[in-house]
Amino acid sequence: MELTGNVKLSADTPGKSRPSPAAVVVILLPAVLLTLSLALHELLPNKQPVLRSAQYGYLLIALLIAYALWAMAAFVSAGAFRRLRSQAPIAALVILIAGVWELLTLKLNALPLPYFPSPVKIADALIDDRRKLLVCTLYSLRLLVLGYLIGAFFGLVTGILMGWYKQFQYWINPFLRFVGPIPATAWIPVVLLVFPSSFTASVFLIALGTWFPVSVMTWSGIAGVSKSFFEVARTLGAGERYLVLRVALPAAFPLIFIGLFMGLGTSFVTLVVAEMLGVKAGLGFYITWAQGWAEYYKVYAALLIMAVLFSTVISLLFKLRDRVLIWQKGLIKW
Amino acid sequence: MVTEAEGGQIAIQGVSRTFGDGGAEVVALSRVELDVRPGEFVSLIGPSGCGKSTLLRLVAGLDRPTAGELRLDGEPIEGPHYSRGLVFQDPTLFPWKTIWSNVATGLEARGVLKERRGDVDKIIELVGLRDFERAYPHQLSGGMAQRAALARALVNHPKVLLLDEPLGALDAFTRMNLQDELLRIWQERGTTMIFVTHDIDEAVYLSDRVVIMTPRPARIKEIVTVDLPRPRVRNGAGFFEYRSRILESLQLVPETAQPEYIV
Ligand SMILES: Nc1ncnc2c1ncn2[C@@H]1O[C@H](COP(=O)(O)OP(=O)(O)OP(=O)(O)O)[C@@H](O)[C@H]1O
Ligand SMILES: [Mg+2]
Repeated sequence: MELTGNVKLSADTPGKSRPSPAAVVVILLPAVLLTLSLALHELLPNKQPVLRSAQYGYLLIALLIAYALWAMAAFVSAGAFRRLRSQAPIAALVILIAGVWELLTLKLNALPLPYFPSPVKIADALIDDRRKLLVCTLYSLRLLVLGYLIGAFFGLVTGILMGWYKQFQYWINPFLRFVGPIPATAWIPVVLLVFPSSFTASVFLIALGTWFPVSVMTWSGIAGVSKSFFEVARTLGAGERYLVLRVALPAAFPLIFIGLFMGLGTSFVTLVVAEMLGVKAGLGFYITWAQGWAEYYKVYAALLIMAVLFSTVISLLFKLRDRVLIWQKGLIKW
Repeated sequence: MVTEAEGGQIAIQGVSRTFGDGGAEVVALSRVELDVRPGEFVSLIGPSGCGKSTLLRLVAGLDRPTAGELRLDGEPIEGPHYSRGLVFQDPTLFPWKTIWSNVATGLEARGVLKERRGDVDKIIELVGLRDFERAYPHQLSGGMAQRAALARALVNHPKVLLLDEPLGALDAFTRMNLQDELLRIWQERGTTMIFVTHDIDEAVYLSDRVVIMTPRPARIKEIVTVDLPRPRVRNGAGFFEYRSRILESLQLVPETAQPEYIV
């Protein structure tokens, strides 16, 4: 891979020798499809009511310009060229899907409304309802971050104590096994009764859902650390504190990370369900509310934001892992 | 570097170690007596499973004897301490640390790294890993990893260095190379060395004394004092004499399963 890339690079950049015809076709594909989408959007008459048709057109133009700039950069920089060459096919596919979608909905009215709105209609929601969406996103984020961090912290502490002290393991293990597998969301009726507000109740639920996988994975990670690491460290003068924090914890991190990842997945679920059932804010709440008015285009808009938000959060977690686990080979990339 | 001798004296007095819970008991060591002088280089040699590692772990303080006592400079050994460094056959480097941090572990664990960062650099230089300071263990060859493990044990300036077949997994060239480096470090620092090996040549080449052990119940069969001038020649006449003496001693051991010593 690396090698072919370099060979191509030396063939492409110096002396202004041209890239292969296949590469040119691939690179042009997204631009062609964007132009086609734009033509489709501007030339065919709308068969469904939308407000922001013009803005959607601007968006397509903006994308086209951005793509042109990227292609220009690829002329100058070999790195940009390689990125462009590898990303162009998938970009083309996404553009194609959006184009076909618009054709089937807005232009042909082939899918039933209000359940399957056009992308233009979703853009309507994103633009006209942006304040509300922004507030809801921030509410969701606050709940998620607070609950997740609390849960991850207590999960780490529980896992470390269980992995290190037999006694602690003995007393906590039955509860962990018995209570842990209950989905956090199943506690909603009870928790709403006990906690003073739906906000604190949701923080608790998200923390609970995160706590379980993080505890289990931290525990098994630490319990599984090779004994010889501890022996070596002890002959080097390490005390218990060092053994736990500087030997056991980093050695267990690959498994701890899996726990953190699983916990994050659960916390997304818990967050959305909690917002749909109790909390009067957030993206989950927004979705139920929009559904109540049969405004499905708003539902899709919220889903889109969720996708971006959650995916970003997961990316951050993977970034953290890449930094911590820099010593491991062959990590999967997110 | 440090020129004053820093070796400690080890006294092993009537040490026994028995493994097993009631039913099948394994006597790994039986009334072992051994005194190691400060700055001495002693090798332990004996058939597989005769308790060499067990003895080393007792000296390291990672295990407690069933009977008897072990002392360093007169002080009873009650647990691991940085004055008794240990190097295994497997380098057991911490995979999440760079080579530099691995070597620095001892100082970091003792909370003296800040004042003594220079020591880490020096010891890395000493074992020839300067260019690999920032590498991670998985990027090193077996020989380099073992050098790093050696440096990690040496950074604490131990009085006694315990080596459990540290060169056992290396090819012949790397092995001879590291033997010479080990001798250099030993001569420079005067650290007391207790060295477990399966290789008779290695034992003769390195040691002041070679301790030959019997199979179960393991005890010391014979101690051969190697009276050859240093630097030693691996193919000298005196060398061969010691070699055959140790061979003989080992072949006289009344169990049959030691084909590894028939060269
Ligand atoms: N933790 C333990 N539990 C039970 N038996 C043990 C334990 N450690 C060692 N033994 C037994 O004690 C005996 C001596 O083991 P030891 O590892 O000291 O031998 P060794 O001389 O180092 O062998 P080798 O040359 O193969 O490394 C063996 O029979 C082994 O099975
Ligand atoms: Mg052994």
